[in-house]
Amino acid sequence: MSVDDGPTRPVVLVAATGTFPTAVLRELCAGLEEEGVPHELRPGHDDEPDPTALAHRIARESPLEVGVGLTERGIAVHHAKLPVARPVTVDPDVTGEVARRMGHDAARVVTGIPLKFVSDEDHAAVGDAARRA
Amino acid sequence: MASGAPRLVVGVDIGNSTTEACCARVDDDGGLEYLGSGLAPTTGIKGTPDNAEGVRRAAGQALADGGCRWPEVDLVLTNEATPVISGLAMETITETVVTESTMIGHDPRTPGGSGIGVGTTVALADLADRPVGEDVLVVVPAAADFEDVAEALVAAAHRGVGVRGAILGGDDAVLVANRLEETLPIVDEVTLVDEVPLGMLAAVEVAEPGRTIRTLSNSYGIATLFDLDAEQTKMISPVARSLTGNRSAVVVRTPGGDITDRRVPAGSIALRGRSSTVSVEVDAGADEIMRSLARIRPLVDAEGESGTHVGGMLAGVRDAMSELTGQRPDEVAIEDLLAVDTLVPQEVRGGLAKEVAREDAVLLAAMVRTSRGPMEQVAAEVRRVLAEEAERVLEVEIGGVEAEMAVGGALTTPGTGEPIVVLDLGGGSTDAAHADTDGEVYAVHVAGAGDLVTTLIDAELGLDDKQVAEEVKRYPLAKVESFFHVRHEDGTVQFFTEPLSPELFARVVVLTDDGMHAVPGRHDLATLRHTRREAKRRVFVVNALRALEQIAPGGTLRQIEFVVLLGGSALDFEIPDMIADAVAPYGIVCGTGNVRGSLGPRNAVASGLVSGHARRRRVSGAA
Repeated sequence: MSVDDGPTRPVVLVAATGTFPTAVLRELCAGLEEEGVPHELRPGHDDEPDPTALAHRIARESPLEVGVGLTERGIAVHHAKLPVARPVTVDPDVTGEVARRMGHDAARVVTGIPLKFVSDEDHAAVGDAARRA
Repeated sequence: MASGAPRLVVGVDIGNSTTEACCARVDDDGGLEYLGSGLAPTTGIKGTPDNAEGVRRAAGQALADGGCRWPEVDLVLTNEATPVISGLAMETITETVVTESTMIGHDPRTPGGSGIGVGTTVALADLADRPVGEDVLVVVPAAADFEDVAEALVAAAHRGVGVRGAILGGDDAVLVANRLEETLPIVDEVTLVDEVPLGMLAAVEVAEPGRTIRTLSNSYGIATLFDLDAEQTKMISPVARSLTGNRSAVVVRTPGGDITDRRVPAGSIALRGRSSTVSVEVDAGADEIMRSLARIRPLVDAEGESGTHVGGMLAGVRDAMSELTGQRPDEVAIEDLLAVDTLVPQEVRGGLAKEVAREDAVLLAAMVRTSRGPMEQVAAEVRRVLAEEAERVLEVEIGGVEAEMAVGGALTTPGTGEPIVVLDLGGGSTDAAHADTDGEVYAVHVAGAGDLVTTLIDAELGLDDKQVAEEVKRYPLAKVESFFHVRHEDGTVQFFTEPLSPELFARVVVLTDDGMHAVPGRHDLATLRHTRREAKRRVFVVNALRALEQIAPGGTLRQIEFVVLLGGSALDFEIPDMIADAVAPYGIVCGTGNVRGSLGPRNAVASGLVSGHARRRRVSGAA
């Protein structure tokens, strides 16, 4: 999924720095893949410990204007047009579960689907019924 | 009678939910100058002494608005505030029950692969033991890792097992599908995956993106897959029907397993007319109930079977009124009913993925009105409360029948003339008053108004939240399309310089006075809008026509020239247009009132009270 086809391919960029369990990055990418949105990995620098700032920098380089920052301090999803201080979502827990959700939400910013971290949405079964009307 | 100086008169209309007031200077010869208006929530049930507090506030506002003070007031006029009690009840008349597990009919956002697969359900853990050549559907617990699952499926296929599809507990369908060598249908996010029966013949279907399933939603499709006879196909047809419109589905053939569309006994209502009584089953539906009602009209009383929601509601309405007036409950008569058919989403009993089926239900509104309200007590309490303000006893008069006053106020709308009909669109009831060219006024009251619309919206969208339903009713919708723009329900786009909250991203929102609120659930904008408009149409358009037919001379709508809409719901952004469209074919001029040319649909009764008083003064002055 993360083959480099050149800079203009529509991808969400994922930047990681520091040390974290490899499973975290894998889950992050799995979230993006499950939503069907392509992504590429980019290196983060050692002087970028803040996941929000990292996510914003990488979002500005992404053709889809969406970036994910992963550092020891947390995981953040950002959009290039949002102010640096206002990420789409950020979580200080660097766990597989959070990473998976971040992957989904990064993809959903691209596809225009309500985000997973907003709790009331995903398991609201009522929508299934209404569609059958 | 003439006594020199003009008098300061305050008119107060105590309504079901709002108390409105106006103040005016009335000359000896009936000359009238309106000075100010005010509005406050009604305190207590309309027509009870508790109303005095709301009167104080509304009248105080009107005086302040007109630059007047309480001690200057000469006369306070209030309407004959007749208590109205209304009730709502819903009877669900069908129920979908899955006995043992036969289907999974939910719609995960991201199923994997596509196509249809038929095989025996097998647990992931047992896959390695399956014999070569067997067709299987693999059932995977939520905790399983997608790479392990994909590896196991590929390995089994290499060994010669016919892997035809998979049912997953987690949200991994695309991930697994991407790691397989061939395209298989995979359904995921099955909440109760552990309860999928194993060793049973089953079918999984996933449609291409943007399509819906074709085989499992077709009774004969299922019959073909499972080799069913005519009798068995009949049994399975509710399954097919309940899967219609989904992108993915699973049907498991369990021996003895069954899904039924059950009709729930909802009891009957007895409708008593002047000469006969008709009993109608609630599960016959709203149309039948309304037809029966029309046959025996005018309704003298109605009674529901005890133990049913409708029976309980009618008894509750009766009790509330009897408590208010001191009448015995059996002396209180239900004056009108409105039945509306509806479809409400309800979780399927025995489903595996929180499936929801839309069940038939009948919603019923009922109302009682009494002329036996403790009006003198209300007036006494108003007198007491206002004396505190004015520091002397004020003259408080109960002035006239509400319908007449409403007509008087409505006629101050520019462009109106008699014969005129006033339609007051309230919370609990819709009231109509007709004034002919001689000024003779007739009134009717029909059950069902704003509260019923809210209940319908709440039930049909499965919101289970009156507050949200009220907002969906009152405000236009929009879809948040990016962090910086929304698309309104009419298609226009609005940009924002300040980014919108990520919580609102891609959500459908209501545009309330204090900002955007996301509507819970997965309903799209079109569904929400349709539900909202249909609820309004089925209550207000139906009731407008029902009331007009009862009040029009000879029952002929063409005899009516002007209809003026008043009341809270006349302020709604679409109800007045819907009613105007519905009566236009009868050549009726219909629109929202504009009392005194500036107050919109507000203050009609209060203004009517004052203008009625002025007219009487003119008459008595001339005599």
